[in-house]
Amino acid sequence: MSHTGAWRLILDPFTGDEGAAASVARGASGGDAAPGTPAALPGALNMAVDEALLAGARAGAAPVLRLYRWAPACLSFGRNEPARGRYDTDAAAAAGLELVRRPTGGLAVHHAHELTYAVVGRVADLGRPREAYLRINQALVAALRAVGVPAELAGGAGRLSVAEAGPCFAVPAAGEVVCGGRKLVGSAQRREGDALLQHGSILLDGSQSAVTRLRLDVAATAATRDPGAQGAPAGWLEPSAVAASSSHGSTTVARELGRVMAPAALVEPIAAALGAALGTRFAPAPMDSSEQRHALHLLARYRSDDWTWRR
Amino acid sequence: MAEIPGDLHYTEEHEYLKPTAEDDVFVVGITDYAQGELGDIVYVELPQPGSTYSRMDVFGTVEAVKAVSDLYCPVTGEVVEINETLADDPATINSDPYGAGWMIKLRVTEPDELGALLDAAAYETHIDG
Repeated sequence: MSHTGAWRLILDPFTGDEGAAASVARGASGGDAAPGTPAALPGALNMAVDEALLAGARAGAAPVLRLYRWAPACLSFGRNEPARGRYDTDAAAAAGLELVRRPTGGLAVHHAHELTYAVVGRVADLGRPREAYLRINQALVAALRAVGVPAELAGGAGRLSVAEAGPCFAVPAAGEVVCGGRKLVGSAQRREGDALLQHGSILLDGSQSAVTRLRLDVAATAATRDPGAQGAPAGWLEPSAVAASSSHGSTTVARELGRVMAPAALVEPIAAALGAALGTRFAPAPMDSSEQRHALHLLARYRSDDWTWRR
Repeated sequence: MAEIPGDLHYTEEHEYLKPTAEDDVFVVGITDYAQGELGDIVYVELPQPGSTYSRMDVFGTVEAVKAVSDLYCPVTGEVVEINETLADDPATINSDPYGAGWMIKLRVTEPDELGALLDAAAYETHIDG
């Protein structure tokens, strides 16, 4: 069974009945965006929302394109990525950076100057995981090209191992969205039963170098590659299109366009391209109230050290 | 073309159940088709021996390059052994899913549930559908 009506475009998951409860969960940082700008939420809440949407899809809710941001900035680990004892948590806290573990696979991502997408639906709606991956990435390429970014899909067969954990954006894998061979979008999936969540980071500006700078076991390497890093923790999170890819295999929309693009400017292009790729259209919608309640329930796990440092 | 041995039981979620020398103990893994769909497997999360599951409970996860999928217990039972070699070499699931890439050994406590599993022909129809 697939959904034939409009699919949901969610820019702020917490409107409606659960809005008041969520305002506690989201803290002082979110909820102040202009209309049409994807909401910025803390990392744990962002992950709880994505997992709740996945559960909603399993229960029959209409498929979703969610676009969102992160506040405060956050470092996320892949579900199975070894992280315990490998990151300088004091330095992360000093830099105002939250830490969270995703429900999806892959490697560490620094979420600051990005637009994040999540696509959630059943296999009947999105295709099998690899088909969905290709369709979604092709739609992202089309959306980025529509705003002037010469994005394309990576060829070849990049291989990643969680045993060699590190930055998600270090190496593009086959089928990922790249620009001039440098990774522009990092994505990960989770399948539960017949439902699928794919979410990923579209780098708008800044740098992924915080991932390696916070790694305890590769600090010497990072210092060698980026000599300015070690003495200036306060500057870690400053946006800089110039610094974006000097020492890493990633690029940003700002670097490719020569100017900073507001997250809201990508909303319509992505919704249009993904709708075309999946044979549907997206209409603005909130989360269902049951999904909102489930997200707030899941929040405790995503905030817990037991989950964040499970490996 | 994915290999589908004729003497195994299958789930629609692409796990298989394979008999052992002990009547009530079966090996559980994922099918050749499933490993091909997932691609290069980088991590497997398996339960502790002694864990018990009901039919279609999640007993673990398997992570391919970036994609995490749940593993479903085909029938009710107790995990009596896990394949510890997968921790160091999860790609064995890709290269030998029905042999060295097995995941858990399950002592089946509700043998009636075996009848609800798919045989090879039904599983082939399922993945072709």
